[in-house]
Amino acid sequence: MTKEWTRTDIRWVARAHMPSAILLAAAELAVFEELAVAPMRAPELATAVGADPRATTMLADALVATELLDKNEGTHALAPGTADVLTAKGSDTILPYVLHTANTMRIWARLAEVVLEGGPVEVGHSIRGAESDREAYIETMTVNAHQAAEVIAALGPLEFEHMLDVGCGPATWAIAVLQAVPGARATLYDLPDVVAAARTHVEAAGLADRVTFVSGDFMIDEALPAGADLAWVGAIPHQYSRQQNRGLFAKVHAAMQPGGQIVIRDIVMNEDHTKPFFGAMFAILMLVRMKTGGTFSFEEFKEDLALTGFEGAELFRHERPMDSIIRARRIDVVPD
Amino acid sequence: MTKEWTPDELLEISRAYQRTSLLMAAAELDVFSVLGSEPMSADRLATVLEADRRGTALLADALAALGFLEKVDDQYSPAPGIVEALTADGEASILPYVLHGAACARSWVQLADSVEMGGPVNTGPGIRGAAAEQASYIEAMEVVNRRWAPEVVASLGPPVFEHMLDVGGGPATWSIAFARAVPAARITLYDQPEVLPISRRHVEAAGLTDRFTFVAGDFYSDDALPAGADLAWASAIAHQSSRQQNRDLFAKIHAALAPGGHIMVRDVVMDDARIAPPFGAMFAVHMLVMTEKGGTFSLAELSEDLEAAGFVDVELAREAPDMSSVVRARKTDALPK
Repeated sequence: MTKEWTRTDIRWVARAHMPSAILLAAAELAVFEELAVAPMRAPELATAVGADPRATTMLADALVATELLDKNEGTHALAPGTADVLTAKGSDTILPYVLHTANTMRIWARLAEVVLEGGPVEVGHSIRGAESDREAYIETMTVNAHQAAEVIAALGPLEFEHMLDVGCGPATWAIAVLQAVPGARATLYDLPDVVAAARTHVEAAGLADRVTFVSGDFMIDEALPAGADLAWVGAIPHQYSRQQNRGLFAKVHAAMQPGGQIVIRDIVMNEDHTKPFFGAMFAILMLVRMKTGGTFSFEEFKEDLALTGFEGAELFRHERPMDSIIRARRIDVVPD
Repeated sequence: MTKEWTPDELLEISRAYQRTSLLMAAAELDVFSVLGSEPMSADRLATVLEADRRGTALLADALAALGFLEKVDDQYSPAPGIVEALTADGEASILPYVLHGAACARSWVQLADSVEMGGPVNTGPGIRGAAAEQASYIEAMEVVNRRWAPEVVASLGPPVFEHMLDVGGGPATWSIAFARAVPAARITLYDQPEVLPISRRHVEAAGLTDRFTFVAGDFYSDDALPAGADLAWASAIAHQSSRQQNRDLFAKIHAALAPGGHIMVRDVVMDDARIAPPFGAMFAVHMLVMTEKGGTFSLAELSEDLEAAGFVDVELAREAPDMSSVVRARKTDALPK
C-alpha cells in the first residue's frame, strides 16, 4: 500500500535531522558522560566539556526540548534511560555506534554531491580527532559472541573439517564456528594488522592449536589459502561491486576442496532492493563512504554464486539484517 | 512527566537524519520533477540528472524504501502527494523550504564544532550554488508563513495604521496580509537589494503593487531606515541578532517612526528558563549553527531592549508556541536618560 504524502509529513522528515544532530553533538562533546557523574548548570557543563558557554547553554536547552535531559531550577540532568545507553561504561551502551554515526551524518549531509559525482566525499575528522573516529568505527563492528553463536546454531549442524575465514576481522565468527564444531580447524585470513588482532582473540578463547593464521589481501592476492571445505565470507560483499564479488567467489572456489560449501553472512535485500529498510539505508552508507559497494538481493547473490561454481543456494534470514546467511555447495565444473 | 528512553528509541533518533538527507538530496537533484514527468529506470534518471549511475541507483532505491518513490519493474515514479509538494510548479509546493533545509542541514551536522567554538562553521554552498540557496531561503519564509499570516494578522485585533514599514520584508508574505487587512494602508517594504525582486514578484502576484514602495537597504549597516510609517513590523529578525544589535535596530526603528507609532516584533518568545516553547529551544540551536550572534529571547529581554530604544507600553500582543508570538510597543518622542 502506497503512502499518500502531506506537506506536514514532508516537513516532519525535513526536520528529522535536528534531534539527531542534537543527540549526536551531545555524545561527541561527552555531555552525557559528564552529566552521568553529576547534574550541573550549563556554565559548569561548558567548562566540563571544554566548549563555549553560550553555545553549551543553547545545546543543553535543546536537549531538554528533545527530552534527552531534564532541567530543574537551572540544573541539567540525564533523562531516565539515557545513562545506561549513552555513556561508554553503560550496561546497554550504543555510544560507539552513536559516535560513528555522527561522523557519517556529516557525509550524508552532502549526499546530493555524492550522487552527482559518485562517492565518496571527504569531510575531515570530528572534534574528537581522527584516531577516536577510527576507534568508534571499529567498535561498531564488534559483535557479541552470544549473537554469533545463535546465528550459527540457526544454520543446523555444520559438517566440515577445515574452515577458511576470508577477511576474518577480530575472529568473533570463526571462534563461534569452532566452538560449535569441536573437531574442526580453521585458517584465518586477513590483512596483517587484522590477523594480529585475531590471534589475540583466538588465544584468549583457548583455540590457538586449531587455527592457522595467514596474512593477505583477498582483493589483490591471486590465490587464497587452499584446502578448506567450508569458506566463511562475512560482511564482505556489501563493500564491493557484483563484478568484484564474482572475482572473490571464483578465488574461493579455486582454493576449496571438492564438495565444500561457501557461507556468506551479509545483508540480503528483497528483489527490488527496497527491504529491509536497514539495508536500503546501508546501501547509502556504502555510497557516501566507499567507491564501490551496496547491498544485493538473494537473486543477485545466487546468480553470482552460480557463475563462479556454487549451486543450491539457501537463504537463512535473520532479524538483524547484517546476519542473514546464504549457504551454497561448491560444484567441480565452473560454467562458462 | 519525564520520558523514559529505551535503547531502540535512542538508536532511532541517532539515525533519523538519514531520512532527512535522502529527502534533501532528492530535492537538490530535482529527482521528483524528472520522475514526475515520466517514470523511468535508475540508469535513465542518472542520464537525465547527469549524475553518477551507481549513486543514482542507490539513491532511488533508498527513496523507494522511504516511500517517496514507487518502484515497479525497475521503473521509478513519485509516490502520491510528492509532485504536488516537492516540485517547483507543484500545487502547494514546499520545495523552497526543503531546499533551504538542505543548506541548513550542512551546518546542523557540524553542531559539535559549533558548540565547541561558539559559532557557525562555514560549510560552503551545496550543488545548487550560493545564489540559488539564498533565493530558496527567502522563498522558504513564504512557504512557512503564507497559510498562517492572515490568521495571525487578524488575531492582533483591528489594525489601525496608515503606513507600515516592513523591516526585512523578505517575500512580502506579512506585508500582503496587512495590506489586505487594511485596504487603505500603504506599505514600505525594506530589505536587501537581492531580495527585493522576490518581494516585488509576490506583491505583483497579489495585485497590490500600487500600494507598495520598495526600498533597498541593510538594517544593520544603514544609519536610518525609511521614515514616516506609523507601524513598523519586524518579523523574525530579532532572533538573528544579539541583544545589543536588537537595541540598535529598535532605536533606528524608533527614529524612523512617526510620533505615536507602534512597533510589532514577531518572533519566538521564550519563558525565562528558556526551555519553553520547545520549538524555541530547538530554534536557538538553529541560530547557533546559522548566525554569528543570534538566539532566542524572553519577553523580559525583549521588553528591556525595546524600552532601552525609547519604546513604552510593551505588551505581549499574541502568544504562540512557535515563531508567531508578537510583542507590541509604542513610540514616545523622548529617549529615556
